[in-house]
Amino acid sequence: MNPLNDANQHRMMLTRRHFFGRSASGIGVAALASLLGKDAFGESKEAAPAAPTGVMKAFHNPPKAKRVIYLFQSGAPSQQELFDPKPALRENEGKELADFVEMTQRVTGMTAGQKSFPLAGSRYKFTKNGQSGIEIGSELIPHIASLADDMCLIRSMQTEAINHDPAMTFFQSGHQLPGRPSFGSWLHYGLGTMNQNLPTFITMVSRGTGRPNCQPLYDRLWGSGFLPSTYSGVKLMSVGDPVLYLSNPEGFDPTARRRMLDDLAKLNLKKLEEFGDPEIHTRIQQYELAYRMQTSVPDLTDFSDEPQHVLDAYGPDVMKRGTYAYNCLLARRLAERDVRFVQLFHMGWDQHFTLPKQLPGQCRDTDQPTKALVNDLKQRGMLDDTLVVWGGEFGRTSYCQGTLNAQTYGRDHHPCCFSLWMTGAGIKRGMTYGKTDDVCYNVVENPMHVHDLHATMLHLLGIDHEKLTYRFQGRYFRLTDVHGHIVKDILA
Amino acid sequence: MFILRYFGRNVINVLGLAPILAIAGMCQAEEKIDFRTQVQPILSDRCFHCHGPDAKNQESAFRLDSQENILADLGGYAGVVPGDLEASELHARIHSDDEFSKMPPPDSNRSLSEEEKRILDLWIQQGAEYQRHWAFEIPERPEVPDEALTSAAWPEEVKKRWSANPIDAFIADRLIKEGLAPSPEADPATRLRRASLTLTGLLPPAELQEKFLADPSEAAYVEAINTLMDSVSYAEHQSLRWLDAARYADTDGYQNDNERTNWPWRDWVIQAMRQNMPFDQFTIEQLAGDMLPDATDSQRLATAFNRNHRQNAEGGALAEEFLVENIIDRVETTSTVWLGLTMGCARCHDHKYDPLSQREFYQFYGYFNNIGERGIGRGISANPTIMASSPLASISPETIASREEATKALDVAKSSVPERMRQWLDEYQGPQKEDSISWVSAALQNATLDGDGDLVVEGDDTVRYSGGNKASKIVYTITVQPKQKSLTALQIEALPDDAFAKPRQLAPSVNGNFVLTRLNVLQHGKPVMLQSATASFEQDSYPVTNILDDKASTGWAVFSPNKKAEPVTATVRFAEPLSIQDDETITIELRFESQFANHAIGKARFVFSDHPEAGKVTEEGLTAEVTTALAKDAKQRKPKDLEVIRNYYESIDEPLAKAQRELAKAEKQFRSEAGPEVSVMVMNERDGDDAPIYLLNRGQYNEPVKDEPLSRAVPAELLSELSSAQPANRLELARWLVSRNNPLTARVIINRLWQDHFGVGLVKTVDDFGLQGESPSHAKLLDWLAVEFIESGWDIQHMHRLIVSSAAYRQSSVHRPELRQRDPENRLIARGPRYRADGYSIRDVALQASGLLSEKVGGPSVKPYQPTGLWSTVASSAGIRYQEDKGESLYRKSMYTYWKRAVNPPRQTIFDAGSREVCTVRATRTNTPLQALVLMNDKTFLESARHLAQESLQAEAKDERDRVAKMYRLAIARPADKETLDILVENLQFFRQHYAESPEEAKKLLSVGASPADGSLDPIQHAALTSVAHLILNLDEFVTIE
Repeated sequence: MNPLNDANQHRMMLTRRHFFGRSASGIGVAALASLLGKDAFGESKEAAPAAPTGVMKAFHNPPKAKRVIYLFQSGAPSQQELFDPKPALRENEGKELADFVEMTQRVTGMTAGQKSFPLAGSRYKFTKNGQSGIEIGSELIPHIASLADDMCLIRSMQTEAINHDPAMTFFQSGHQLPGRPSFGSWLHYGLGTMNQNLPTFITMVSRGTGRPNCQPLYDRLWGSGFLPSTYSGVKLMSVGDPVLYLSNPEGFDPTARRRMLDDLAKLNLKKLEEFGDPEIHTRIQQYELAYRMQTSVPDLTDFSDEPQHVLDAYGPDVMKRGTYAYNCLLARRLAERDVRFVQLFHMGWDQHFTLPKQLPGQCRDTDQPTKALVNDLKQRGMLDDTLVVWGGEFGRTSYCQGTLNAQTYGRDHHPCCFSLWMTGAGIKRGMTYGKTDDVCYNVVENPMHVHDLHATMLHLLGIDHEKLTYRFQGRYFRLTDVHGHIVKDILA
Repeated sequence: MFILRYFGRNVINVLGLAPILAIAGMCQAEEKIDFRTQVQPILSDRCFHCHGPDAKNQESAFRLDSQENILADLGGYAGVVPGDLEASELHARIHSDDEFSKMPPPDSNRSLSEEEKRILDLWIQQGAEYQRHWAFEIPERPEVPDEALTSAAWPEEVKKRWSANPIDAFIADRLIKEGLAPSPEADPATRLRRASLTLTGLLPPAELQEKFLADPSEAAYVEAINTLMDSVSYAEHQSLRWLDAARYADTDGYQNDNERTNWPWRDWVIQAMRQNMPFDQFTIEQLAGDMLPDATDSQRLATAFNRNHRQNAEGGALAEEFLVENIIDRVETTSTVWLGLTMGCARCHDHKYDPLSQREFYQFYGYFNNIGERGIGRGISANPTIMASSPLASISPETIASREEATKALDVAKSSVPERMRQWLDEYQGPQKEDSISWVSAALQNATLDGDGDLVVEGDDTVRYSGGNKASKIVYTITVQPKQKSLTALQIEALPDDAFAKPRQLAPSVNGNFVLTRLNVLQHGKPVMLQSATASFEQDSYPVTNILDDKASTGWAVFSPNKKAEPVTATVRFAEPLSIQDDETITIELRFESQFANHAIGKARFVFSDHPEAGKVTEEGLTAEVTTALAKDAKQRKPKDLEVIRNYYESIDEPLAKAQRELAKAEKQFRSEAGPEVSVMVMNERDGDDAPIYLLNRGQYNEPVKDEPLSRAVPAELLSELSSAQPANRLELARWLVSRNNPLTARVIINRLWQDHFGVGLVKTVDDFGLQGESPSHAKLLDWLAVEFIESGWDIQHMHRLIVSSAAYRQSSVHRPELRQRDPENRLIARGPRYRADGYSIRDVALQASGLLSEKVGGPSVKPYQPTGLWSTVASSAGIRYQEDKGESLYRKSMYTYWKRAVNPPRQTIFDAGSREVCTVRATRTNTPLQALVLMNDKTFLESARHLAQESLQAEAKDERDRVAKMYRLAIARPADKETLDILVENLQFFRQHYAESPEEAKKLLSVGASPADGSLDPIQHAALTSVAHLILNLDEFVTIE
């Protein structure tokens, strides 16, 4: 809603008179521009306002991050192979997990029927990386490993759900069941938008080579829940129009479109004059924003202005729409355009069986592009005000699911400990946080719950997670429900 | 938009309630504080979080949720001492500056304004009277406040208009108190359009517009409303609202999001709305239809309401966990839809604001946990389920009668089986010998071929086929003259010939094999019913019975590497003997429609038999056991033998078989009219002991408090003193919900009906009537309507009629400058409603205006246009794609669009539709660039524009201005004014020139959408007019209810 004050109203009426005083052709654009304010067309000349423009009019605390790029690894990457070295598993391979730890956690229905829970060790090498010497499974992810000195690797993540759907919903919205707003929606609601030509919360999806038939994704993961749908994430499509219904129809070229919008604005202005409903004014503005998106989005997805060495850095898939590499480069371009929250979903990290067959390909999809993105941001000075997060919805078991032999093994879902890493704005770099026990069953030091992650991320964005609330059905809801602590140890 | 909502309470206090008091209280010496509207909202919002009904989770023993608690002795002092500010700790605390004693505490993010502190102080001084929350008191019918209107300084004409409908007295009463005048009545076309959109989601039909505008009298308006409510569109639109509340969807929601088929329930709702089913019956059947005495199929189907929850079939999901989630979903849905309460809050702890304990939550849960479901697995088989078809299907009386008749005939045939069996046994002489049956060759008269190759009649009464190049769909039509008077069976002989390839040498194919896919025998041009088929040889997977079905993909073949060239026969028995007149001919049709070339019989002869046993499949069922039993002497047969014989006899008894065939035929007809029968998830109360009920600690499925089993109950606060008996089961619960003693249901439902028309409820928080919900803008009106609703016999149409015929609803919706500051949300209703229509309606109206809209009602959901790739990018496999429908299904009403929970139909969600994952009753309306893009670029709107233009071009018109005016009228249901037409005509001129310069573009524009364009129209003119039509479909007034 955009109630008009009298001055506005007066200006509008003047404009309308002005508007109709001239011949109809071609004048509309200019008239509209004056109606809508100086930044109505093309890029805004001014820098994005420092203060939030959402429900918050001032930050709760000084923000470190202007924006977030969240690289969500859907399906749950295995921490034992990638981030949390456990030599004990390999040494004791085949022995029962119960011999090492009291098995108090629930197991999924997929392995509940297993008679035995034999330990399975990683078949992949870990090395110490960088000055910080963080141990990472560099055989599988050499590029990400090379970012060791930039990252804060959290090995003590914990969540509550044990199945994909509730776990992803929990990671996105702080609640296992649908109906709550996702992280990006809260951010949009709280801080508003920083740009005039693109949505504030954008998601992109790519399919991994690890497991072609994998965990599906759902609109609700970037949905606005009980918040108005304005705050929903906009999914960029990998086929057809990047934004749904973006392109003009066949037989309707830009000239036709402009004329149509000019006449539409005239008629809607006339209506506004008659009815005085501020919604009409908003509608006129939204049509113009839609029109600007028709230019800004193709411009966004046109990589022809990228130098070859940048394209090369992202790897061979970078020009293929719908790949993780393509989405990573697009993420950087969105960040440059001040889209506040960019979230990638890469599917296929669900290695229940035949892990050695699936995992290497899955890692290859993501390894090089992830590094390229971080370095690209760094080179442009954007890593200082962009928060980058890499991780899945839960971890995987140290015991084997299915066949365990020299060639193959697999891992089931494990919510009680897993790894995730962050870099960028306000994050202490070159550190690890939290520890798990020798068989990677429990966190033994510094547990970090999903709510804590959310609280910490919001803090970096200048938001007190206890203060950003929305009243729905009589209750003040927040992203972290009634939980969440800021983990100060990982802040720079 | 959200900013106002977020600060909703403040806005209301400032704009809504405070002014009344300011005005009403001005002339009084002391302002009297009203507990419900002034004090309770403060206590609930600022204090209850720590001092409310949640007994466990608070640090202080002081509670502010009842008279007793506020006065409680806190150890020598009390929170509130009526009339004594200084002795009241509450007073001291709210005025304290001390960080540690100040209330609310600084770290709570809550604070009190000076005005609020003053109200609390005054309230204590005036005696600190505590009142029960308004919504928990049973509504009484208030007196209609017509005296305010009588004495108001409004023009007589206005007063007269505002005194016909009781609703208006309440609205006027408030307006007069606020010193506001109402708006004039909207013009007739606007009024009719508004009523039609809010009642039916469509524009008024053209005839209705014409009729009403010719005579826009009071009586004509009421008649128009009745006409609208008589339409199927009314029933559909009302059902759509219910579908959102009932979280109806076409998929399961979790993980792979499998398809389910609960749509017959959707049609049940349409049917109920069509019949204006009283809301109490509507409630009882949906919540507990299965428990009604002698529950009908329809009543059982109705209970799918509470099975529209999501259903988890993810590998590894735990049944106990999702069983609990399903039940909680039922509790939340039922409590939101009927009670307007947020019971879900009490899942993990006592409700912070409302008098709902966690224990009561699980007692309520107990009404819904007793249907013996499993909790996980696909919805389609998530028991309990029933097979059902759409209750909307119109089945002709003849079809129903003939099915009943056939059922009866079968009973009769069954009852006389023993008698016939005795007779048969008496005459039984062992299995028939094949050689006793004689076959006579029929005279071949004519043979025609459809397909490649050559078919000729030869002298020895055979036909001969020589193959062609592309002979894979071959049909022989052969006319024969039988030589017997009665025919019981036909035998087709395929004869080998050296001209054909080895090994079989029976057809001009590569291996001498054929595939006969269908045999038809026609007498008097009509197909004869064939009873059975047998063959001398059958190739594996190609049994001869395949020739009796209509499938071209199955047939009878005779290849075998071990078989040499030899004749093969197929014998087909007729269901009834055919009697043959002299010189009469029979037509035999052989279809060879397999994919294999030239697989058609090369040399065939046709012989008939008149023997009663010819072609009988005697072998089937005649097992060694039966033969032994039959071979025994009648006296020696034991009961077991008699049973064996009887079972066998029933399989060969002709009258029984005939009756079964007749019934099958009647069933088939019935099914073709009734539509498909599908699995629907329903409620079905278990027999035997009820499932136990336990409180779940922290709401966790695996933490039941087993040492204290609970009994079913509704929250005590909702029970009136008059009837304190707790409902014992789900049926009693349903009856209690619609009883006169229920404080909430009628208010909650009527409030949503109000929202459907005015865009906002009298209680804006339509989903929360609890203490944190908004107080009603017109409390007495809400109660009056609630009681009227109950006393009308829960007549929904009566309530719609009342609302839509009120002067308040009929006001012009022009925003008056003086109201912009006073009441921007129009809560006082000093003007008519003006708000954007929902996405369903916007699409439907575009299709309606263009003449494309299908009027088909009900049935399986459909898949209209949707951008490509929407499903496959997020599905578990890239191969899962959206299969767009063809033809009429592209133009069905939007409520029939397939609702996939993982990927909602974008056209709907972009326009704020709920996701159908959980119950939604709140209407949200945003105004976004994505909505603009849909209207600008979605095929649906382009195609509609094209047809709108076409319709206008095909009609008589004076000139182009007239054509444009016609399009506007069709799309907006109102005539365009001069200025609008000027702009539209200029637009047309621009586009005519534009397309004249680029005719290719015109052609492209005219090919958007699946429906064909009228080729006889000038494409330049048609494209230009399409652009104008499209502009009209993008207008603010097109998408707005005003």
